[in-house]
Amino acid sequence: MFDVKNKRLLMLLLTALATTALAATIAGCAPQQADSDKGGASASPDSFPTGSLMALHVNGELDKTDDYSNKFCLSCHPRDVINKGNEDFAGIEGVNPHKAHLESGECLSCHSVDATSTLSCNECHDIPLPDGWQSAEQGAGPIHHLE
Amino acid sequence: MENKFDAIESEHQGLSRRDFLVGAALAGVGTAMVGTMSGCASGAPAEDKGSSETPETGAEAGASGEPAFLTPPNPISDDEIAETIDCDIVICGAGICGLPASMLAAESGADVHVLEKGSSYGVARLCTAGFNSDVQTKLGLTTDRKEFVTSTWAISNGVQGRTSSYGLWFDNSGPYVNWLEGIFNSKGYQLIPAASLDYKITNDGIGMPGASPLWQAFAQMIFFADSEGKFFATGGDVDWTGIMEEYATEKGATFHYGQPAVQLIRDDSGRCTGVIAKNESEEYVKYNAAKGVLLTTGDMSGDREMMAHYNVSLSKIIRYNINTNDTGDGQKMGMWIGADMDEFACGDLWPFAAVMTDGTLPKLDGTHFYAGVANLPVFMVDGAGRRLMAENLPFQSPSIPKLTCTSDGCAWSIWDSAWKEKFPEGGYMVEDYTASNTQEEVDKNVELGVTFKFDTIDELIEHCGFDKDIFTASFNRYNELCAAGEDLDFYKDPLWMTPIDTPPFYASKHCSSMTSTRGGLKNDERCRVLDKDGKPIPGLYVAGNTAGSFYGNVYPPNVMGSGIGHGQCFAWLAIKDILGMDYIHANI
Repeated sequence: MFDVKNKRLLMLLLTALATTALAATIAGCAPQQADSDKGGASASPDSFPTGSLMALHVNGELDKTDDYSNKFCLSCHPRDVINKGNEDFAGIEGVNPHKAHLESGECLSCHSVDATSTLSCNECHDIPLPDGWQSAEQGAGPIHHLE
Repeated sequence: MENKFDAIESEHQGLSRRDFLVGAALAGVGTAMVGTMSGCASGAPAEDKGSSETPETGAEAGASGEPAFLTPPNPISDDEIAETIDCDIVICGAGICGLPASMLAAESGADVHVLEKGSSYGVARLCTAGFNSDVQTKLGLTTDRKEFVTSTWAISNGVQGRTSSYGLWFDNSGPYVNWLEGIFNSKGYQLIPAASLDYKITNDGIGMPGASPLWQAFAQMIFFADSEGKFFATGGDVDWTGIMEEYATEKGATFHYGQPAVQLIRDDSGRCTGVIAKNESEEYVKYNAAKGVLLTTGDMSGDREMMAHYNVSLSKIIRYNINTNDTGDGQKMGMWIGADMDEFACGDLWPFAAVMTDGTLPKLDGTHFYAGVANLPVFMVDGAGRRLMAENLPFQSPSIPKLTCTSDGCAWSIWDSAWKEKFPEGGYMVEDYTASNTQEEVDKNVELGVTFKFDTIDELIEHCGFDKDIFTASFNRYNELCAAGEDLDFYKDPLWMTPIDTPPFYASKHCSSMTSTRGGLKNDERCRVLDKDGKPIPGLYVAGNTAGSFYGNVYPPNVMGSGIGHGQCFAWLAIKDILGMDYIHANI
């Protein structure tokens, strides 16, 4: 199943990356110099797991922050841009993890700063994963297929 | 009132203590949320807040015997408010009830803001429901008012519900559905009465030979379909809540997602004047509602401690097919400002969800969460081997004795390999939403370990762990009654009294599946929230699963779609009441 969707996923990821970069630029998140006193910041983005925030923010946007609150994330990634960039997620019509019917909670509940990101939706669903992501552990309840 | 509640509470505590402990991990999310909210605020009048001595933590509150969720949090002060919005109406919750309310409010010209905890509107559910609407009557599908009101009251609620609520729903549901149909037609969609289709959700007993005459089932479900008449079972999954949100937005409603209401505001005169919400940036936003606030935040199954407090039997549920967002927020906020709450809640229960012997859920195809044949009126026993009920009770009925008369909320269905020849033709659905009742499905279930196959009854007893004496007595008695042709114990229809005598024998375990709790803030025939003196709190309305005064501790097992149906209708009526619009009033 994943093989079939790999191309779509790749396109999706690239779109997401492009959207992220665009959002950062639009919101004035200019690239910053790496700050060597911040743990891990001096490491190359390549050294972080694909899909982690450190791997995606390649221009040093996170170098000077320890604040990963929703407010901080939303200051560069406006809600409408996030929503639009994730429409028909994984090629499934109408699916958008950023417009979930449940409470979105903390950004970090899915997006890891420097480790593997986790798709929380898959506690109850079976959405194909973006590259480098893992599924949340399946909950005790039933699985709802979205395709 | 106080004494009555205390007495009920004591009884609950005694029964539920073990469940609270066992369920501690499950309740974690809900408890954490209560803890968080405890640090927030309250607009409760001073007499309700318990002054500065009110404990802020669940631990202290629990020690005093009162659940933590009943403790009003500290007030959010004005200097914590990041933004203030003035409007006519605030609706808390963009689910299946808040949405039609927002549609009506917006098309009537009100400045309405909808606060939603989730990142989007609520998921579209199976249906809406109503009586004698145009789409029903033109197909000859009519329901008698007296029969509905008296039968529903007699069967399920007794003195717990308020009979006039049923009349209120009956009278106004037709106009509601007509209004809804007009809007959906304008969007290119149709409303189709379920009773006009060959398709059934499950064995509802309506028009089926062998169904129990004891509990009359009412067929008022209405499905949403596309322009070609396709609905969810025929490839036409209609995102009808999305269509509702779109319509409301077009008419001027403003939706705020990721922004739960956290506190109601009640002024010195006692009026509820607005809501404080928390946005995604964790800032407080104050909404001043000049005309009214409607609570449609859903049910409380996402807070297991709260759920168990109002119905400890629901703690036995294994398959919680719930919306985890629904942590009783509206009920809590209402109580924090002095609203009264139902003493009991019930659950919307689907009685035959397959469960593995070890209590985990099997992986079944699609929406078929019932094991084949196990959901039919076969011989059914509890974990010890006792027969439980007239197995031909329709629709959701078997869920009630399964929860109240067993230790674990589970039962076993037992049948033999000659079932197809024995069972009444037309007495069950071969294919429906919940199951496929074919031998092929039974064989698949056996492979999955959901259903078990035995050459002898002794092997069956051994495997299922029944008490041999209890099961043997039940089994022999059942076969004797089948031979005599009359079920003197439960009066199951003779069409279903067929002996179990042809090996191999089958056994399959099942539990109840719950979608939501039903029970909430007490309200009157105008959907106004009542205080503990039974008087309306001005400006505050409630509908849907946040509302009480309708069910009591038993969800009517014979009224399909009653939760969605009356919830939507009453949310619609609440807006009418707020705006001074006409509707049909029930006697109080």
